[in-house]
Amino acid sequence: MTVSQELLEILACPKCKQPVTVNAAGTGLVCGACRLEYPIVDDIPVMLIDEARTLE
Amino acid sequence: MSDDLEHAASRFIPALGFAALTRLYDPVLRATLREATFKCALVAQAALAPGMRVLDLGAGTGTLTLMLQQSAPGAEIVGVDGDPEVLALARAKATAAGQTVRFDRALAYALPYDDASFDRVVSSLLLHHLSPADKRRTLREVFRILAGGGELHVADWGRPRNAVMRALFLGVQLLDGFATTAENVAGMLPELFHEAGFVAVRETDAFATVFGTLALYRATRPQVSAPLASTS
Repeated sequence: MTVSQELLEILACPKCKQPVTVNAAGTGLVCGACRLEYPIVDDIPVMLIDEARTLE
Repeated sequence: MSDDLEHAASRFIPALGFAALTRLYDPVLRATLREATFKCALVAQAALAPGMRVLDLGAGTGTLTLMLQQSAPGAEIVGVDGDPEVLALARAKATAAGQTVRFDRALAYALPYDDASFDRVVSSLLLHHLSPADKRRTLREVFRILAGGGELHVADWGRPRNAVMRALFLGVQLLDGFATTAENVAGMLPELFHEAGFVAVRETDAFATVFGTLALYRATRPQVSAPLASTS
């Protein structure tokens, strides 16, 4: 997975606009505040609220 | 954010109105829209410099994104679009061109970026795809993610210059919808930019195409919030 540091600097949760962090497997971006995980598909972050996974 | 954002479905209109036509988008645009001409003008107008962070909003198949990158190799270019099919084409084009442009999938009116994180937002033929409400939400989002002094540069359908241009634009309206394009025809985009808080709003250029009048616009996010009218 190639999520660059600069990418993470500006990426934010589309719902609450807070910063997101890469998950442990490097397959998604997590918003801790909204408890949502946005998948990364073919190196493209899918920052759609409807397609985010709700975290337990 | 408001509830409507929360319930925003992944709504976007595919590039040519129907998903099956997506692969025809590049050849159709090249043949009919003087694509190179108006996109070159848009890139020149954006006047990118090394070190700038630039968002191509509604990047589509990435033609403009790659042109932006070529115009300023030291700038950091990000392309964003809601449609996975055009993004796949955009990525393939970037790879073939040996360029390292980044693409994100998101909706224009719920952008996944920090406040004040871009120096430029450039957008070609996106706004006429959006409903009146989504146009306004999108422009508020663009305003939010631009840094103070940052600029928005837009190419989209403008007010037809004559009856022929008006008649031709009916074709676009049939394909892309009348509700989404009505404000373009009415020449209302500059007003919408003002409404979102932009200053120095200008229509900078216009191109006659076989589909109608294509206009270029620029708008600036002020360094500080707009002051109240001074009496001096």
